[in-house]
Amino acid sequence: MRTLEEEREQARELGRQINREARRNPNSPYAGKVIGILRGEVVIVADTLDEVAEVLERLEPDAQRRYFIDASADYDAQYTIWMQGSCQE
Amino acid sequence: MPRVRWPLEHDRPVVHVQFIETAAGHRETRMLLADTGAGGLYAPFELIVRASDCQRYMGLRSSDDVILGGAIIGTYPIYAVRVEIPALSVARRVRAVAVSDTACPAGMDGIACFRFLSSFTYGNFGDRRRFGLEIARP
Repeated sequence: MRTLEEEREQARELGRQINREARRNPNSPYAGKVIGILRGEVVIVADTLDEVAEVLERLEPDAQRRYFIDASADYDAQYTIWMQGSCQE
Repeated sequence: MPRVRWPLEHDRPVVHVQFIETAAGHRETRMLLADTGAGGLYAPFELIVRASDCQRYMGLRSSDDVILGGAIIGTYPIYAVRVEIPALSVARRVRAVAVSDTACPAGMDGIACFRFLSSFTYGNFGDRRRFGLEIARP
């Protein structure tokens, strides 16, 4: 059985492959979908995070081993937080 | 359309959401700063909350992290957590970035980001001392 860290690295690598494919090719079966990953394999491709979570929660009791990726999201970008009132009071 | 409004907190707009523990069903209410300047419409996250809340309420984790800049700087994990807003009969999983307590706005439990807010109609609905959400029209 793989360690948590090994599974995490596997999921990260697979997620990046899927993300690259979906962002490069709008006709990819992954484009615009949420992908569920368990033990380094895709187990569900769905339209919503709820659908993915329900399947993964049924198949894997350990929350630390359940992964998802938004196939078409940009994880390389930096997202700015223009927090109002960010000066500590 | 169902609508809920909350009083401003220190003159700032807030939303109240319940976090749901997947296994036990335990729930707790969290007050989040409503911040349209947090992320964009297609950001891979909807909330920014304390890491301890993410660990407690997570259902699954994103295989990739997100890079934040501006008021919160760094690379952070994203978790899927179940939230409810009972007054709107809203119950769904959302993408929450896990940050340290010190990264959260003072006196708040986190931030409801633009992607989350824009899934509703939001605003003061004619009362400048309140902020609210309404189920968005299709």
